[in-house]
Amino acid sequence: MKIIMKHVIKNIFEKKLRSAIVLLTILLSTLVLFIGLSLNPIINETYSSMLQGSYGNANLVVNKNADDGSPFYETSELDLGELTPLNQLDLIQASGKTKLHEDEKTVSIYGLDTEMATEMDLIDVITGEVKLDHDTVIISQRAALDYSLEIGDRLEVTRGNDTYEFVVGGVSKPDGLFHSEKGNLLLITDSQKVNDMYGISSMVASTLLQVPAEELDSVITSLREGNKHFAVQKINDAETILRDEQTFQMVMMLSIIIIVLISAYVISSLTKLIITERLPVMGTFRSVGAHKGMMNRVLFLEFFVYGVIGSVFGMVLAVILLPYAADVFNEYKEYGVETIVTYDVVYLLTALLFGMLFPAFISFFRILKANRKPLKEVLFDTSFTPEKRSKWTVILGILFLALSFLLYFLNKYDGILLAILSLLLLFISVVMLMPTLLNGISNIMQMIMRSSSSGELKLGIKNIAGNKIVANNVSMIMVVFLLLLMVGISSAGIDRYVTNTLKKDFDITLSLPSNNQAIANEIKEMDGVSASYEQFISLGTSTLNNVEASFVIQGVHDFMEMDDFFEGITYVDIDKDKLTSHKNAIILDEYMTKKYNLSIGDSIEIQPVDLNNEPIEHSKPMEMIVSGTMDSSGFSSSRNSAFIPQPFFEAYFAGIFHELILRVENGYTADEVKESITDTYINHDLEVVTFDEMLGSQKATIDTLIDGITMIIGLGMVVGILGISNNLMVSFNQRKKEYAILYSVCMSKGQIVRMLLSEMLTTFLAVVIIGLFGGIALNILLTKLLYAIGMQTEFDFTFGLFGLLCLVVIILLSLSSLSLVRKVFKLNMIKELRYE
Amino acid sequence: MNRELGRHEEMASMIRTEKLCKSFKVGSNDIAVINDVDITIDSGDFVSIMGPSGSGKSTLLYLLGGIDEPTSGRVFFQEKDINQMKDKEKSRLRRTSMGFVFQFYNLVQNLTVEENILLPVTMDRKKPADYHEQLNEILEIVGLSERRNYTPRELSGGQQQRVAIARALILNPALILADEPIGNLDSKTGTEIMELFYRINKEKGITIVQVTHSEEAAEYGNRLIRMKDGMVQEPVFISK
Ligand SMILES: Nc1ncnc2c1ncn2[C@@H]1O[C@H](COP(=O)(O)OP(=O)(O)O)[C@@H](O)[C@H]1O
Ligand SMILES: [Mg+2]
Repeated sequence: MKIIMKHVIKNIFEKKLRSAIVLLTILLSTLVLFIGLSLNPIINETYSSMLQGSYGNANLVVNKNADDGSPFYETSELDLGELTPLNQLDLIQASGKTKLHEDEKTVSIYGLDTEMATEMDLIDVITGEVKLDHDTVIISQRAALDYSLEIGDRLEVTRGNDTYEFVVGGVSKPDGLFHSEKGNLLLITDSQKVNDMYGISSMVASTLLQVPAEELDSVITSLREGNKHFAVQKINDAETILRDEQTFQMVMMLSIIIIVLISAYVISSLTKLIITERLPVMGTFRSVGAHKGMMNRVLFLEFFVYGVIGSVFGMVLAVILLPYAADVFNEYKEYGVETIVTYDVVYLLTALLFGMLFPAFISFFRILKANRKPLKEVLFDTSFTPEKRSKWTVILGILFLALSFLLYFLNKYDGILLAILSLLLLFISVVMLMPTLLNGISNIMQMIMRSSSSGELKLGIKNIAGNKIVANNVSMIMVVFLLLLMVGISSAGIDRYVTNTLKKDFDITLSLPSNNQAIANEIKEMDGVSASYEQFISLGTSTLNNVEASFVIQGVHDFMEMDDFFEGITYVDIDKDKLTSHKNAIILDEYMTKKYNLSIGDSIEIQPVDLNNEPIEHSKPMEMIVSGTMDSSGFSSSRNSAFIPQPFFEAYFAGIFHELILRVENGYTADEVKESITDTYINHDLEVVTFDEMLGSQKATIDTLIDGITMIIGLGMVVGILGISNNLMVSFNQRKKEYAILYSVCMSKGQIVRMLLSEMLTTFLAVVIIGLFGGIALNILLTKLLYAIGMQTEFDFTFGLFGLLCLVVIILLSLSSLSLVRKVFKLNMIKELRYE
Repeated sequence: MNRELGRHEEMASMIRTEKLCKSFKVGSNDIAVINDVDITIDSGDFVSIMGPSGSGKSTLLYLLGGIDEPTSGRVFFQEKDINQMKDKEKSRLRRTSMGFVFQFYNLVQNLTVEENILLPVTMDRKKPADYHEQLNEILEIVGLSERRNYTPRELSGGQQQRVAIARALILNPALILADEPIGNLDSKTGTEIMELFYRINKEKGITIVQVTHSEEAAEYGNRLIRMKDGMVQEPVFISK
């Protein structure tokens, strides 16, 4: 055992470069796997703690919900009944403008009890006073830094025709309430000052309550009972939908799968090469009596040692790098939101085990296969013998290719498993067909070059056809190439969806607090609003052909008006009779009707569900009659919108969202109207978003996502390049003898170099040709996978990315050829020719 | 020695060495492997080099073929100093005027018999089609006409050696250098190969220098050079 260990360690040290490449590959794949797995929970945690943080320890928010035109109330109006909350904070807000460094800034002024706010972790004063005088305010550390404000500085805030003067009295950490500051300025002062601004006294506009978490639900129920004129909401519910977690997670998963596949492929082909290289030595050992088992253990142990070293280092590096990687994905970083990094033991072990065991696992099969070779073949180094094109490999390859497309056509419901399987089959078939494809390309090239008198160029082209190592190399390049292309196609598609497909059919959207119809009616009549549409949205699921489908259900008063208002919606086929005669009519997206083979007149059962996809209490599946189809792709990427008549909606589906969509009159800008809405309703907790802001934030999300993907592509490329350069290096070592023979019989070193260059160019050509067809096939099959994860948009083969990848390949090949050229000139031919 | 030089004075030599030395660095020592060798081989000779293992026979052969470079001294091929030539010239010389045959055949594994034989032709920028007749003739001579599209793996050792000989012959060289050409073959096949060399030497007048361990094989030649410790011993003539 000791001897074997010694041999293993010696092997690893003897081939320093090789070992470095193997270790680096294992290191990187462990690293990426761990970071990839850890990111989503970290980002969720960060966002939810940010949201949580905005409200400190509070878990309930109460607003007035009466039609009397005033958002304000006295604290005593709120009937807490039996409840004595752990903490209670009353808030009143006003807005204004100020000039900072010549820039006009929107100012929000919060009036509240600063000592209670400190208690509830809503503010955290680090310099200055917590207790405020009448005119003093607390600002955030970020504002202090950005606008170089200090304690004692004066701020002039205008509001309409009035001007107010404040003095900076304290600076808080940019957490808690200051999370919402973002680009604007937030001032915290006492509530009397804000009351004065409105000309009222002792009024508040919302109340934050902290109640024991386990009593939350019962408290909500009893509060709602006792306060009919108030809206009581859990703090999380209101805002968690901000982040498109599913898309993020899916893209992340896709990237992890890809990087693991690349690593797996690289590691597996490295083991193959190393074993092929070691075989003659092993053969010698065996010929002097060492038994097979011992040899196997040596090889196996060697890979295990690689795995252990590589994964441990990879893990250490991953643990160090995780905070930085997570920062890349933290969109709110610039607003001072700190990334909360947690290390999950399960992910840590998963990645560690993968890195440790995968190389050994793969090598196990390779060793078994190698052992089947007779001793004679092992002894006489036959590794550079021509690739034997087995008929079966070709047939199987073609079969797999056909199967992958068959699966594509069979996969009518865009099932994710079938989609992945069909992609996997494509990759396997490309690898299996590689020798045949190379042979074909080489033959065509030979025909083209037939009249050329340059023997070395022709020999180079010929070598591509029959050389196992070249085939292996091109396979590796191809797999990495296609995987990267896959990531590229998906991210380009998503990006384009956001920028082009999303139809601009509104200027402003705002979500209304639970059914506050009074505000909705007021806003519709505001100056600057030209048209408006009120949306009532809920969720539902349905089991269609044994597949669970989910729908975003909208109650619609007038289907034609809806169509007129939204450009993103086009009715394809409408049965007007059914729409008017059936109270349970439904219009579905044609994507859905095609997918589930529904036609007009069919009935489906839809179960109303809540945000967590749980059936809503006291609800039952409702039978709906398909009465029309539409194209809603400009409306939502999932194409799962469904419209039903408003009365039916109100009777059976709880309205989860109530949104008001506005168009702005000529002469007004969306920002102006937004501002006047937020000014007027500053105390109503309205989420007002302009189209450009929405697009911008979606774009920002996508951009972070694409940054992350780029990072992953980069790492994948590094792993790929490591593998490929290792392959090229090994191929040189294995072909030294071939070069020496050619040199001794008929070729100058210059001719050998030209032969290698011609091999390189043919390889490149093969990569371009196979990559093009493979990429197009990939593009077709990939669409299913992306549909399966809810992105129903067009995905195009991107020639830009294709070109970029080709460029990378040619650079890589040129660099490696350069080193080959140097090696050929330095090669000791005699040493290679001798056979002692 | 003098007598030999005198005898060939008037004739142009095929290959000739002058104070040829080759040493290898082993650690910090220089080990002399070829020590002051002066030999002259005439056109039409069939020379056998014999000597104990490690005496420098292979090294000498590689020096003669210009594959290896001497530490000092010179090698003249048809009165031209090989080591003054550029790599490109040397390689042209090797493929057009010399043929190599090795103990382990040294064929290019991914090429067929025919392609291996035609390698020197294609590398000399000549059209393989123009060598159709020569190819057929040579395949006939070495007896591989039926196996022209086989790859080396599919041939026996003796057959592979015939391919190597055919490759050496295709451009009708003046000299063939063979390093233990039958060292890896059974005696019957060995005899066949030697007969082949004999015919080539006699019929085509190609000069042959072979390294061999077998006295029997040496007898096919007309001259014998014995080597020991990197030095050439007294020359022996065999008249046939
Ligand atoms: N590259 C080398 N480095 C060191 N010593 C070498 C090298 N090549 C050959 N030798 C030595 O030169 C001597 C002659 O070798 P060689 O010409 O192959 O002998 P032969 O062919 O007569 O058996 C041997 O002792 C061998 O060990
Ligand atoms: Mg020898």
